[in-house]
Amino acid sequence: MANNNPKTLALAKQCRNVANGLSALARQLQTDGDDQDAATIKQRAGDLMQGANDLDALDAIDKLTDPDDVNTLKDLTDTMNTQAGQIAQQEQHATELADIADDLINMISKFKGGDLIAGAGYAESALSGFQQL
Amino acid sequence: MGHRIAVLRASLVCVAVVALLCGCKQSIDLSALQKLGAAMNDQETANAAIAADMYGSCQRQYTWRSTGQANPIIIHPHLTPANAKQLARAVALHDQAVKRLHQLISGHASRFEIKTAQKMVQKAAVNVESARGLIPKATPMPNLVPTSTPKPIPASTPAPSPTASSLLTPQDTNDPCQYEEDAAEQWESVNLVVTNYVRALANLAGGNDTNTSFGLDSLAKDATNAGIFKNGQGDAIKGFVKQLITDRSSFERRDDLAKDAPIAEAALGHLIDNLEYVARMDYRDELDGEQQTINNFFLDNFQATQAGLPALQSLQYRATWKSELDGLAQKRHAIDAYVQSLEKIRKVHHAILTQIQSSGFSNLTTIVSGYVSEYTPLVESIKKAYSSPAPAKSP
Repeated sequence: MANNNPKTLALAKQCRNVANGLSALARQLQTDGDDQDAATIKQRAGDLMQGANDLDALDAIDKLTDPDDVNTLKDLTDTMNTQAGQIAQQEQHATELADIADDLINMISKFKGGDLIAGAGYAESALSGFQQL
Repeated sequence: MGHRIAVLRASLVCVAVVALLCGCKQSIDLSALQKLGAAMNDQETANAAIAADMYGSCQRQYTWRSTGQANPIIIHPHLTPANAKQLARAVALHDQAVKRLHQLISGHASRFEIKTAQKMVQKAAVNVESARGLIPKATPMPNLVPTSTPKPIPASTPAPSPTASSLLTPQDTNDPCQYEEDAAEQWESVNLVVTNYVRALANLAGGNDTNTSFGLDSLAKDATNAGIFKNGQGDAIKGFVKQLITDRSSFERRDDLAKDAPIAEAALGHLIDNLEYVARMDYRDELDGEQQTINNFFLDNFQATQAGLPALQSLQYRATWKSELDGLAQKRHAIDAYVQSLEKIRKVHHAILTQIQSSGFSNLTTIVSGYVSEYTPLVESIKKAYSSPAPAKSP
């Protein structure tokens, strides 16, 4: 658990408690027929509630603003995605080599004589490159 | 010529033997980590909903406090500027991804770049759907004026359903919930830092690539047809070479993970601590405030007029009141589920790290599968708390 900010939280709770008390008072005034004062006090209670919300929100912003941790994780995320991309490219390279070898074999199967020998030589060197992956 | 074919065949058999030995001794299966990456899509949707509700709660409280004044107010408890903003953002990212894809397709991009852009488009489309799912149809709220004498409650007129264009209209700049909006955005942004990291972890682990043949299927078939391989040699060698390529990638993936994950461990832990704190303390307090505001609203407007209300309406308002409080209770459960789901991420990350550092991968699949099976219901419960339609407010 991160370090909390007891003062901010306590103040927000206090605001809500006072607001609750003011709301009850406003209801009492309303029952007594003092609509004007009831409305004023109700407004004050609303302001306090909003103040409590704002305190919670500011506390949350404070807690979530940690550039070091955020940057560390963001940088690592970028690094990992780059590494994943590089590995995928290597696999793609392997596929391309296999495709080349396949083309050469197809060529071997279509031609005769000297062409066939040359084709086999190309295929051999391509596969040798493939082995080095 | 026969001699060259024989040399070629012999060299391929040698490759196969080496591949077989490598494969048997050090085969690494990191594909289980893909489940983590897939799980992050749901986690992101749930996280976005809970973070947006920090702002949503403030907006609803403001609306509850405003209701009962001069003009009837239509309450959209879930239709907040945060949701609208989220949708707008998702649509913009989607459009951006599509544009990029078109650029790549029309230019000289590699297949890898196009594939990456296609994935971006798919992900952006999912985000748009998720954001739309957060926005239920609006429900009307009657004007309840607090007086000692009950006033007739005006018949409610159904509010028009929000359209995409209306949701994207810029909101009132004089927003009383500006801090809450900032907090919701910051919360969501840190949520994304965590889920993007886990997704990158899964991405690096691999196993999600649909191209697993590396062109060898076709090569083996043609080589067999050309007479280079005989009696199933083609299939055998194909299998060995596939294993060789896969293992080589896996070693590299494992090495990269072993290098990156330990650096992330501390930062991830701190961010999870702080996300849990915000949910358990700040957001829960905000919901407490909302409950207080709802209670005050009904105490002010409903109980004060209860004596004069027809029995049916009285029952309906009681039901509405209860329904609102039930909705908040569901969100409090969602906070617990959110915290637990973050704890799962923390634990599974630590477990993966331990496995990678010890070079023992035998438990990896079990660990990740266990995490996903426990984690899925948690995320579902979060999504449920925020996707249910707003309760009916009145007759």
